Amino acid sequence: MSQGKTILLIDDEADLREAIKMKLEAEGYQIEQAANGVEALEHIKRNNPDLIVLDVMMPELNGYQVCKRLKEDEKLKHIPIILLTGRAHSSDQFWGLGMGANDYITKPFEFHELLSLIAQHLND
Amino acid sequence: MANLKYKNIGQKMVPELETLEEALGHLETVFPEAISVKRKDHQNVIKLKNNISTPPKPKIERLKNVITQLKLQKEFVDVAAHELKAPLTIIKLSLENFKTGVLGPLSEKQKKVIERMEWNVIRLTRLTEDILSLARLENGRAKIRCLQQETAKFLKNVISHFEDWAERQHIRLELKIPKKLPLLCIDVDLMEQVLSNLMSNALRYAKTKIIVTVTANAHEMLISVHDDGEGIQEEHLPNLFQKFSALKESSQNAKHQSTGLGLAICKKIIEDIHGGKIWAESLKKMGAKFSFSLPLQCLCEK
Ligand SMILES: Nc1ncnc2c1ncn2[C@@H]1O[C@H](COP(=O)(O)OP(=O)(O)OP(=O)(O)O)[C@@H](O)[C@H]1O
Ligand SMILES: [Mg+2]
Repeated sequence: MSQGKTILLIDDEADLREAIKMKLEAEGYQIEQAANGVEALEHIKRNNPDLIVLDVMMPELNGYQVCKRLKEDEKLKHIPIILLTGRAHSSDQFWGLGMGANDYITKPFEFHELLSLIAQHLND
Repeated sequence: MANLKYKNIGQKMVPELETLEEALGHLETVFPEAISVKRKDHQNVIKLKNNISTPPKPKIERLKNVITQLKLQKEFVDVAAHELKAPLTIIKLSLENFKTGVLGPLSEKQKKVIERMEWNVIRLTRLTEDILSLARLENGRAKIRCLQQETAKFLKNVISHFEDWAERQHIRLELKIPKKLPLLCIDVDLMEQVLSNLMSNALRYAKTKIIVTVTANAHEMLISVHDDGEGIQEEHLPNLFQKFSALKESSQNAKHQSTGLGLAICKKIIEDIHGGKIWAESLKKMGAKFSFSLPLQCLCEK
């Protein structure tokens, strides 16, 4: 059940985070946000979210790098990661999954796609 | 502007160089310790270049310039893709928040307006994707990966994606595929794009059925998609494969909004990349028939 589960949204676009947050909160999830990779890593170590939604294209520390660091950390590697990628046919997915992401979704997506991935990985 | 010959050579080299560059770039960002690997590869690339009989220097300079230009073009497409998709995603999701009542209840009138906006965002998204895939195909940016495919299996798989749509419209899909067919050497993603466009076009016009036929001779495979819709007027046939060719009359009463890029993309994929040919026929009272041929010998531009 979504009750009380915490999801961390990591994306440099505040408007996108806001739009996703509204929907996920309406679905009963608790939402936390980070605007970049560095902020995200600190946040995760402190708050240990149940799931992470992570944008690939971010300045400085990009999505792959964040992903790799999390999956290398014994204490954090169990947290499911869903990558947001920009391109349907590219090496994004290859690299993302190679870095240990649990799933990916291509922009522009619809909520039901994101929701079903979230539900799937929270139940695992 | 450098001459065509250099542009052609450059076009061929850019994707290769970029695959290498991209892979090395990824390696470097994700595994900083792999930089030494990158150096070594770099040296090998340089060695390779020296082994090939060295053309005169000015020519190399010119080739380099062309490659730089092409690379700038392709970077533009990639940046454009990201820059366009980000705002589209935000608008799309925000509209969905309105529509699903996340932001409070809506009147019927408001719902209608939101739906209209949503439909147009979908249109804009498709248009964006089409323009970008055309741009990638034109500047040699598309990643092409040709593989041997079992023809029947490949076709059946793509066409199966259209079964539900056909059923809803009460349209019968008929496949005429001989038991024994040679293998096809194709880029699966791109060829799927071609068939999907021909199928979705046919589905928008067909009245009762669509027939997909495959035949082969010693040199080539011929695949056609034939619907029993209103067909296409003779004078429009030559222009169909040009960009934004959506025909005025048909798009007015058509049940869909079209962008008219689908067939231009098909032509690029079939002719420029796979070395085949694509054409349309309109048979009076028998609908439209789109066919393409593919050489059995792999001519795939790699
Ligand atoms: N099976 C068909 N029967 C009749 N007209 C067709 C058929 N297929 C294509 N056309 C005409 O050719 C035009 C161009 O087709 P094309 O696939 O390039 O673009 P589109 O389907 O309009 O848009 P999209 O870019 O979304 O594919 C269509 O708008 C339509 O007028
Ligand atoms: Mg089309």
